[in-house]
Amino acid sequence: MTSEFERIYTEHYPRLYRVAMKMLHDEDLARDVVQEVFVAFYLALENGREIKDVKNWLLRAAINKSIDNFHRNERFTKMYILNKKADNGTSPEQYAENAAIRMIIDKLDTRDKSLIVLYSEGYSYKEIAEITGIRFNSVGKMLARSVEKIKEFVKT
Amino acid sequence: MDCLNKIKIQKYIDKEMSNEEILLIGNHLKNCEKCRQSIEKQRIMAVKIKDALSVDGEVIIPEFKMPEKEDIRLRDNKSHTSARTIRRVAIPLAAAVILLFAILMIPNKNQVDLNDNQYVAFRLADDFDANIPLSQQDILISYVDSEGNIKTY
Repeated sequence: MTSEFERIYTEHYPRLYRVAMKMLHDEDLARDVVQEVFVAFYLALENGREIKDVKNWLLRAAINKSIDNFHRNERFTKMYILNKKADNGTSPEQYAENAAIRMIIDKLDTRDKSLIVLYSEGYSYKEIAEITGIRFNSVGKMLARSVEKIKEFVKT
Repeated sequence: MDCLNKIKIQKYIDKEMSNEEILLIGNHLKNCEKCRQSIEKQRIMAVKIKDALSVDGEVIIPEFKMPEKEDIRLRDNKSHTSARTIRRVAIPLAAAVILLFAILMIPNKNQVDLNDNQYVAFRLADDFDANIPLSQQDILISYVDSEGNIKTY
């Protein structure tokens, strides 16, 4: 394993894990997905494939592999969403509302869900467009629509 | 300037617009309570979404373990095989089953005519009683042979 690969692995692992966790709500599955992504990345490098934007390549792979794995774990995901431990200081109302929001996000179609997950990670519209393949001009519109869908279920 | 639509509100809170647009909207907001409230609601919702999805705790980075080449090859083969299975085996198999089913479901009218135009008809006797076993009742058997003669037993 090259030192360059190790550097990329250490640098990007946390962001990929967070994205996979937000998509799947399961620690083991998220770690499996990230491992698969890095194996694919390693093999791509080994085969001499040129990857221009490593971060976006890895995120795109993590999103796609999470989508592939989502239905594998759907039943347990629902349990996790409900059982996720409340942080200290989180009121029961807040806890319930967070669970409701997570469930609504899970019900969005995979493209909208990916969009919301990347948005929640603080990526710009340009980055989101590059990672998901959605047109840059459509990101704001789709995001507003998804937020609106979530808002319909949650009193603000 | 007109009031802001949902898309502009979203772009505004995400600062995904030009400075010029931000200035224009800023001026509009000074005089529009409705838009100010809409922006505030959208901003709160965005924060709620981020909070709800937050991943707790620090991410522990495990040591990267490259699977054995054999495992990768097997896994690749497996995934290719499953894709091939669907394309090359399952679909033609499904088509064949549907075709077979359709053939079986079509009544084969020729089959009756194959026996040299011979017909056998069963007719229950006129005094048939449904409460008595068939073995204890008379059954008339009419037989039409290839020459058209009707024989009854």
